[in-house]
Amino acid sequence: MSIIGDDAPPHGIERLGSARLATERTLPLDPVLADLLGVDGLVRGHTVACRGPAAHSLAVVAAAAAVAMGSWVAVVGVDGLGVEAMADAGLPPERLIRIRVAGDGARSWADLCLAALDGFEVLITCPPARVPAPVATAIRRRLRARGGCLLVVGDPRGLETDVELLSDGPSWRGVGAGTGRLDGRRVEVRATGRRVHRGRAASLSLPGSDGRLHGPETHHPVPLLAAV
Amino acid sequence: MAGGVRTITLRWSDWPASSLGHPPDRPVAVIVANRLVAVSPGASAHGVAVGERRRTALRACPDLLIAERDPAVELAAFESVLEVLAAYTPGVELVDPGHIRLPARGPSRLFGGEQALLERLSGDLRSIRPAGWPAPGIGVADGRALSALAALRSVLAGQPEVVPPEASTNRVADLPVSWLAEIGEVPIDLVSLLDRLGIRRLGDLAELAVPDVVSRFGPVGLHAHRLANGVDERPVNTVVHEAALAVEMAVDEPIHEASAVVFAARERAERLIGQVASSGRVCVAVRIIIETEHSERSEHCWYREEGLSAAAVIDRVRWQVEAWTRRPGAITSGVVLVRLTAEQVRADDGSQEGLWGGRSERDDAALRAVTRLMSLAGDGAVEVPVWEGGRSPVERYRWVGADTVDLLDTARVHRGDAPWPGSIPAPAPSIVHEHPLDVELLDEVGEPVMVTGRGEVSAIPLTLVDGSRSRAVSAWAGPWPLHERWWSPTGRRSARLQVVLDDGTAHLVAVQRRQWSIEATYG
Repeated sequence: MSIIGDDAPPHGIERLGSARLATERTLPLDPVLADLLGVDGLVRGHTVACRGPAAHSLAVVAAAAAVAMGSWVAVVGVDGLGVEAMADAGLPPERLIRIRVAGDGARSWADLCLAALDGFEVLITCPPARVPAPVATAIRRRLRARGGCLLVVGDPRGLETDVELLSDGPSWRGVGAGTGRLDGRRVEVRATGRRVHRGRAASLSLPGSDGRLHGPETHHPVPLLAAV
Repeated sequence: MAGGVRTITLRWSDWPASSLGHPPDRPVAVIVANRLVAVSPGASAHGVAVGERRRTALRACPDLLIAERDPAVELAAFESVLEVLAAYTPGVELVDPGHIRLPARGPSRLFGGEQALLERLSGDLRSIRPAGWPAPGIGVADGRALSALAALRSVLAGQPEVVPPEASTNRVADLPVSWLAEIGEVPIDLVSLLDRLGIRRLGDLAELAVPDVVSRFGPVGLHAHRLANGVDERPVNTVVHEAALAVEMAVDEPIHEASAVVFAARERAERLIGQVASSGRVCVAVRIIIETEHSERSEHCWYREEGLSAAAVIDRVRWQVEAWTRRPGAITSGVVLVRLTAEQVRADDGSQEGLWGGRSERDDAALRAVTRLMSLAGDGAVEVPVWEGGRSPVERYRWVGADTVDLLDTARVHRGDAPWPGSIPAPAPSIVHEHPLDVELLDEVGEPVMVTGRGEVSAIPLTLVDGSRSRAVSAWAGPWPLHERWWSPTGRRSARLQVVLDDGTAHLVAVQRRQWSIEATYG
């Protein structure tokens, strides 16, 4: 029986830390978004800004496939993300953690982001009003070192982004003058940014009536677990 | 072809209810995330059943006393049972207070065979609870899971259920697949998936071919398949694998605060579990020993089939310390020693990876980060969702402190199947405002729109005024009236509308006592 005293180095913890370093270059990504961005997946180390009226929904669907395949997602300083909408979009809420940020201090927000990036592969955040350049650099370094992905809801402020998903021109279906009910939204989404080479724009159903993202041709994505 | 070690499982399904100390005829229910997990005989007499929601139960029995589950309270009451069992064997494994296992072979030799042992055991346990509470389920079978299944059958049959050695297969074929989740052997996800595929009995599962099961459901599916075939190869607490791992915390200054003991144990638990994980294994049984300056001792061996995360170990340290301090006179001085031993580890066969929850390397990394985040941001600032249910998207999930739940327990986010009549239809809003924003909803002459007692709007809403900003309503739907606690004079009446504004944004607005507010936004 080995008794590990106080002074013994925590081998296990160190080994795990390095073993966790990304073995693959990308995290799983919804095929509709992958198509829009002209990539295979969410590239580790990248910062993706989701903007416009569908910013929240975009961030959630961008994270959903990775979380469904086992990644954990931390939401730092974003108030009131609807958990049910996330679950409907295919993001399993059992691997979702939310961290409240006290005040507007860039420092505490940055410390929380850095700590979260150590253990979470996906981070969804709203940066504070001003992100000083050294903070932005520290976050970028940690993202690269840990192989995580940062999804920004709204204005990225001082953060350098690799990809931007811009939403515009939303129109809701199913609701009239006191009739029907909201039954899904069409929204124009354009992929841009310095790491986007074959990006394009498309009219997406986000959310569709089932709460999920559907592409321009409304091809229903293949469920992760098809019936036997 | 059973092959497991003869094992006895004892199960008091209603232990959380009886541990509260009320007489059995008092209607009492214990809840987790608003769903009943245990009820007293008095509650059953009113038709209240485990699995129901709090509200449904209150409707059936308005006098129902409801308590949140508190494992520390349950454990404090359970210590008397554990003291009785200590006379039989040192090898008692605690799954939960009210759910334990012991190896059958040693004690049955000692007391003259299984039958004699069971009779003696039942006799000794009879006086544990006041008359009126049912006797525990007692199951004996080859292996840990099969004895747990036998104990569940015993609860229904009202007498001990003994599955003869080597005869386990035919005994389980008729049991529902969901019992595997009930005894903690497989995640509920697997059960619901099997259910959707029409596989509801263990016999149906047993008939599937092994390669199909493995390719379809992975290692967890294989484990379930083996159990369905009556094979239970993981031994109960008789074998210590190679060198057990231990971390010990001896302190010079005795600790007098329960929370300080738990806090100090945290880092040790992480180290122990990290050490186990670094060799590709998971810890399924941990022995927690806590000693005081006066050599008082609290010692338990905790078992968890899916593996114990550091957070799960810390939970158990907390229950043990709190239960100890709840027993008058049990602890008279400060804590000077905490020892955590990984009593049983098994290869991480991959059943912890991937879609079926459990523990993976990513889980461990996330849990470590959560611990760190809690110390940075404060415990209350790190939160996870739990399913609550309800008509409005605002109430269906609730955020709770990450330190108050088992993060690896996926059941906390499972949505109930029951449809909520009158609920706001899908899709759900992507932003839920925790503090609804007060607004004004006006008709064409600038008068506030109201919802009548008959659930109709007083006029067509045309403008939404949000502080100084005024936006036109381009489309709307509803109202969805909502009467909460309608049986009570303090009940709430409200109604909700979906509105689309001219800027393309859509919101869920609610009115209560003539005040409109934006509860959620479809962002």
